Amino acid sequence: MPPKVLIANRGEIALRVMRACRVRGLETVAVYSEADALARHVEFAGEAYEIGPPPARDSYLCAEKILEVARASHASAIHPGFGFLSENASFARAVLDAGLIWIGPPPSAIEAMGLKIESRRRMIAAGVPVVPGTHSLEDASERLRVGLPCVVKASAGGGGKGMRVVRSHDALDAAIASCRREAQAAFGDPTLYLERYIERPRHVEIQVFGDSFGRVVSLGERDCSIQRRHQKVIEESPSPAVTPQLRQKLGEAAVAAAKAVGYINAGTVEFLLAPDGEFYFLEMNTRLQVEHPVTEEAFGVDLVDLQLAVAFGDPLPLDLPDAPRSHAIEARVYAEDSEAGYLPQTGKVLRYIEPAGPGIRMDSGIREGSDVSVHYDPMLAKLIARGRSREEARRRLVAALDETVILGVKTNLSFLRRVLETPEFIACETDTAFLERVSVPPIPPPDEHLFRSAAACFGALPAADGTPASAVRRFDPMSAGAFRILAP
Amino acid sequence: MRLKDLTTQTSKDVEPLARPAQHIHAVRDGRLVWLHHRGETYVFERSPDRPRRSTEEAEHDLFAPMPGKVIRILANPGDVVDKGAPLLLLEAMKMEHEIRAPRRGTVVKFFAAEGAMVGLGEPLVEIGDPE
Repeated sequence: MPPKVLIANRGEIALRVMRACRVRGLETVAVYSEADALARHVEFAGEAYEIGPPPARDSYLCAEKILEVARASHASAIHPGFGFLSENASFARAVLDAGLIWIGPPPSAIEAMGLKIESRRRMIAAGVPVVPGTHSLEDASERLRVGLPCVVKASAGGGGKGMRVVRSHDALDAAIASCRREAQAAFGDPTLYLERYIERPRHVEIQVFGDSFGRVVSLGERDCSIQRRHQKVIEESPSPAVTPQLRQKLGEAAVAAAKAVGYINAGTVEFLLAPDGEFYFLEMNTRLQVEHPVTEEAFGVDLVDLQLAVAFGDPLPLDLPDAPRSHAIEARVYAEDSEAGYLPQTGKVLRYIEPAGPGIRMDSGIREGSDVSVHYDPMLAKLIARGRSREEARRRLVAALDETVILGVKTNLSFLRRVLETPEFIACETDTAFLERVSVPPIPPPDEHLFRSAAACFGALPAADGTPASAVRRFDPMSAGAFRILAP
Repeated sequence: MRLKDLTTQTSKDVEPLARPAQHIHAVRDGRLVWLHHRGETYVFERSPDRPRRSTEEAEHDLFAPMPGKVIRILANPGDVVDKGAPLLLLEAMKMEHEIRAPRRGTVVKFFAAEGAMVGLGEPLVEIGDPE
């Protein structure tokens, strides 16, 4: 009987991993919460087990329940996806202790990179450049040494949670208090540190891969500079700012970082690339990244297949490409209101049409009828376009976004398209402050034709004889109250 | 042009306007209609036949802009607050969202206590006149 892989995740990444397992002829086991009984990843799997109530802490974060399912289903390996338990070293250790294969890096490498303060020390020792900073937040002279602007970060953090940019010393204490709460709530660890804030950097990250024979390679970069509230929205590879020479230097630094912690399997070393061309180690993500398809499309590799190969003991292939063959751009489709501070949205997907065409890839976790609940991350899908040039990839992505239909839940589909069509994006003028700096054109107002169509849909009035547009108005749940999102 | 309502599985013919027609994807969801046209999504509701009784409330209350949990209340009933004053912290998607006063006024009452879960559009705070 072929080995079984348990996928300890949900949504599009669970599907992505299961597809890779099928390609290799491996059996798949899904776990799911009560909220996900009808989810796509559940029906896609060879077998599926319910592990608890909707909140992640009662289901997808329950290491014990997942290990119990692994035992009961005779799975021989666990893939954690990203988020949830993917960077939980004690879970990885428990998986190994149970005699299972952990499709990820060694627990010691997760630990070394998991706490930002510890990883900064390691990188300095390994000769990898890091952003100037301190972990002595209470020490006034240390604070002054870091300078302004600075950024408060959670040592256990990630994804923009527990993180604030501070531009005056007066605002520092409030930022620290707020970050502490968020870090405690999100990661169970309130430890913070302070870093110099590099103005207008690009976020450039290197995909690395290690096998259990001591080989570590880099697979080029991804430019993830388009971010909102410190979360990535659009990613591309190659980066418009990275020359072959810089790619080699970044790759060498990333491989040195990975080797310093004995890294095996897929990982990502994130760097800030300053406008002057200097780069600084930011953190290492010891898992498969959300945006891994960008590298897959640009380099023509299957990273999840490589993860499985390496985890089951194979060496890395010797013929992996060292330069991109195509340009790829990914847009993350979120359930959110882009016009109202990117507020997460919930609801039921009532209509869902995926795009298609040459160079188009949709990694999606939803379908018509899916519930988008408050319990999980609002990312619904990733749309990736590949082209011979950046401009071809961009135009394909714009057209594919246009073609995608999601009704019933507000999404950022239109926002993504409008960002991709700004002159600044077209001219590669991208940095992490892009969305604060560049004015993205607003949604065009609906014309009378659409008002009439909507009125006809209500069935109140005959459609063909000049339904008055005034029978309907635009729905705006935000108009009822004023609210603001806490500035990050 | 043809419009299909998925919830009732009925289709309607809509007479095309002067310009070329392009398919509109449409779904009715109770009191809302969702339309997708040329890459844009719009949500419509029926125009009110008469002013809604809730309009008055809407002017005095702050509503939850998303489902979440009230993690901290930052003012007390009776407080006179300025526009923009923080009133409570709402946690959703593991992020904190600060709900602020839309204008100067007196905090009349909070509809939810610290630790309570609130749904989208539920009232959070009633704000009265300043005096």
